[in-house]
Amino acid sequence: MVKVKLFTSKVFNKYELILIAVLFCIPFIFANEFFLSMLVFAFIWAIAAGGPNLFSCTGNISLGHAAYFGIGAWVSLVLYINYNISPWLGMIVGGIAATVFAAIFGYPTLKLNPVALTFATLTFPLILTSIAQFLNYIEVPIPFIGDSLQNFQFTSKVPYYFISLIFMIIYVLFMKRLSTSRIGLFLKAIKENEEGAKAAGVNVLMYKWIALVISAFITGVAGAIYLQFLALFTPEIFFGFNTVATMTLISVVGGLSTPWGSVVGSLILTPLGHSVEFLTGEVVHGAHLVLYGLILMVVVVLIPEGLVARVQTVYKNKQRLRSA
Amino acid sequence: MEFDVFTQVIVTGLLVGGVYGLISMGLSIIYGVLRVINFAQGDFMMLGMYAAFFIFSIFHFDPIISVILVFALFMVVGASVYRIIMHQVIFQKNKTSQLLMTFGLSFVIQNLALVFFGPTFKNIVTPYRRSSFNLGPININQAQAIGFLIAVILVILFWLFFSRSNIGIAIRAVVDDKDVAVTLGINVNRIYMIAFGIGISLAAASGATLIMYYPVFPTVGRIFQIIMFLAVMLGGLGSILGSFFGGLVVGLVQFISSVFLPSYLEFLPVYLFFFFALVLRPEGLFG
Repeated sequence: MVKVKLFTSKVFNKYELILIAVLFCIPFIFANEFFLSMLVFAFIWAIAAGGPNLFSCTGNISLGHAAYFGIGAWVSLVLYINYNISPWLGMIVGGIAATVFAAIFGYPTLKLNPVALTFATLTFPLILTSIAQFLNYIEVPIPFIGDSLQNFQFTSKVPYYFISLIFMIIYVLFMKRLSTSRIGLFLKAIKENEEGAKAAGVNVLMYKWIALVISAFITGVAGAIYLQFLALFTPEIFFGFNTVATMTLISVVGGLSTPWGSVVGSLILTPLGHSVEFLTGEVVHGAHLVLYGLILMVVVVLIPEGLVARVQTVYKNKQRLRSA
Repeated sequence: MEFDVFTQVIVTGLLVGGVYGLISMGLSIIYGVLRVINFAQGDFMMLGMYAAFFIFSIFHFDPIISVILVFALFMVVGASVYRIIMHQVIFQKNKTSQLLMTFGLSFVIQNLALVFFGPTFKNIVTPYRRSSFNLGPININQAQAIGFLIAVILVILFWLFFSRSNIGIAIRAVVDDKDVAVTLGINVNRIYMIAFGIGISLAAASGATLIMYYPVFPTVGRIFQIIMFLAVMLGGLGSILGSFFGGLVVGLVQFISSVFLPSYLEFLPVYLFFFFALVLRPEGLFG
């Protein structure tokens, strides 16, 4: 009952509103550059991991979302560098390009079983890495030509902070809306029991495809934002294994197929990873990634349903005890 | 293309492909017995390469000897990894958590290697690495020839192990029917541990073979991961000889395409082959 009310009567409940308010206040309290950029990374990764998180409601783990992330960034880069098209437009075009790629090449993988799908989608970032290297997009910086909203370039971290935070909130709103929509309900049915949904007349393949296409757009746009923040494109950053692994980790830890899952996962893991990298990066390279892998393994064993779902269960149980 | 060049490419492709076959065999065994796709297989191969590298640079043992040492060492490593890590998820119905577990393991191993060994490429320089047998117009690199020979010997040994030895037969019994095997007094958990140990030590031993002519670096396993999945898929899962022949095919594809394609695209046909093989014939690998 609590859950139904949460989705219909109000957009956000009080805990969510508090979190959003705190996030909006942070730049006015700590204007530390390192701290802010850490949170910008966290917001962008939350959106990026939102793609695989949404797609996971089809019962699959996609490793191809690094490809959609990279395509979003790459297309936006080419449009900006070669045709001087604003990154804001490039972001949309990049997201659409990622969507088209996913719609075409992702479609045949949807018929596969989960393990085969994971491996088939793993080839996407690998193939695109080869092609990007071949086309000589090995290390392309975006030249800084001064503060400009139109070019999505700022000296200070604060504008990046607010822009990526707003994008993240739009993402959460969209996911909440989606989860109560017709498509969202069908996807939930497929996740719970694919055979049952099929028997009830749901076109399972089509809804999986819709989830894939939407998730590719989300991740593609995140890739384009990430590119603007880094101002550097390399195939390793955008198509690399670390990108795949980070997205998977964030969505698994936060909880698969929940609107807040990737946000919670990213707000915990990204700052943690960046802090460990900051503290150890001079001495050893890769320590924070070891930590990421260990966290993934522990979470898979201890809280396979993810943090958000676990907290909700604990909270619900407590309420039940109180009312009893 | 000239005939000599073509023959040269075919011969090299087959020699390297034989080692690919050896690399894939461990994956095939682990999937065949435990029904788990081990994402970290390539990383255990990488660890085997590093082990052979350090055995060479500290004790000056030739990689040919370290193949045996590495095999024995990783038998223990593999069994421990099963006991400590895989055991947690192996009996779960949900395949995703097993996949995520090996995925996390792969990430941990790769980055630990990065932390401890650094990102630089490491090579072993042996006398046979740079010399070759000349058969008329064709040159056969001695290291590649030795690697192929080791691969063939190990494949035959393991084929015999699985068809003749008691443990091998027990493992096959578990593969055929787990429940019946249990009633016959076979300890499934122990069989899983042994099979996982063999699978991991084969990956590591093939790494020790590969380092005779291929440099080692922390992420080397990623490329070979795809190669081994493709080889196993072509040969049929659980089939030891099948994955060896699958490896030969992948070696041929890779070396023939390396003649036509620029170096950045060398692996592109392998990736595309893998993708289309999966999409068109999914039962080959995960049926």
